[in-house]
Amino acid sequence: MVYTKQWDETKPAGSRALSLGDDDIREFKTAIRERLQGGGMYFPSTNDDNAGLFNWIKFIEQSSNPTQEANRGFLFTKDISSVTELFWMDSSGNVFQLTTAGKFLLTNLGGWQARGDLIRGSATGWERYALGTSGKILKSDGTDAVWGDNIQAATQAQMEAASATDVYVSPGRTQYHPGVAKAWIVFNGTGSPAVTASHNMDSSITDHGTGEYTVSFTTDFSSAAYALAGFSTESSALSNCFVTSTTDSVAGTKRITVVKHDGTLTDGTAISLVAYGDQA
Amino acid sequence: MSTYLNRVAVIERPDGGISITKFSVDDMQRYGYSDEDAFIAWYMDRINPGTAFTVVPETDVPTDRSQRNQWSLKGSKVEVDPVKVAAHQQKEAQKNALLNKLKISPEEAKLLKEI
Repeated sequence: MVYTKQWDETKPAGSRALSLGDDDIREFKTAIRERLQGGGMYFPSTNDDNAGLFNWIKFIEQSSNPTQEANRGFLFTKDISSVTELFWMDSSGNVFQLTTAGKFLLTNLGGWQARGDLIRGSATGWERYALGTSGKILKSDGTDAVWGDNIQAATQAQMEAASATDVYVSPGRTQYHPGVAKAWIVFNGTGSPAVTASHNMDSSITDHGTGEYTVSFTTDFSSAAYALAGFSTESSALSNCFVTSTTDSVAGTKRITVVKHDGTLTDGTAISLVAYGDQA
Repeated sequence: MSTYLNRVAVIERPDGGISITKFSVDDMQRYGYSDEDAFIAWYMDRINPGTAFTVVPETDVPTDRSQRNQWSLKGSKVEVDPVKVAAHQQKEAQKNALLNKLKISPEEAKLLKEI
């Protein structure tokens, strides 16, 4: 800011004529107003209710921190890497840099403590929230953001018990739930028997004769006490057939027969089986 | 759709029939085998422990299954067995003679089975 009136504390000289005193007083007022405006104060040349308030505050870079004073705080600037940065010194002499290269310096917000810390809003303001132990997740307790236990995947035992409600079912353990099919298969029993699609069943298949096959479970059942449901079609007009068995179940394989409505065995065109039970 | 080895294992059952096991390439990989013979031996022991079997090319198994229950293992080939065919025909003849005696047609016999 360019001042129109020079600040000269030798004026008026002691020899100056009294009749010129009014000019000196006006020049003095203008010199003061211009300098206060230069420092950021709103100071119009006419009366105004806002006179004395500040448009902004302009700081001069300090080469060092101010001298601490009891019951006083200092807001000041210093040069950091050729940038004028804002600082605060409290009454205890603690100095915090508040800005850095055009940004707030968050490391001083709440006090820098350790890697992984978070800034969290508390009942009284922002606060440091230390990193939780490994595996914890940040979640709401209804009031605050807090570290809490992650929801765990159900274990095999929990899946088999089928009673827990505070764990989740993972794809790799779904099959342990007693209500879930452990294995299924669709295969063509005509010609050279071949599997069309399956889950937890071998694609290798044994043909014992017309309408008689053995299928194998990839992961065996824990015993022969498993449930099996079957259905088959065959190529004749009366196409629905029963799937049954004439042998006891064993844990790892199942021999089945496809029976037509008239009781004769037949090669099914699409034989499907579904198995439920406890796996080994 | 699975792909299969071009050899099958044949078991001659005590009841006179034969069981034929096809082996899936997927299963061989799933169970960690690269050698077909080793896989076939392991798999047959898994599903039929201690039972003797013969490995034959799948091309040596008939594709026509109309006489599947009359197949036999002859050397390293599975063939329709004339002896079994004759026995089967004899049984059918006996059945038809009985039905004839009872004055029941084959269709009526089927219906009786359904009932």
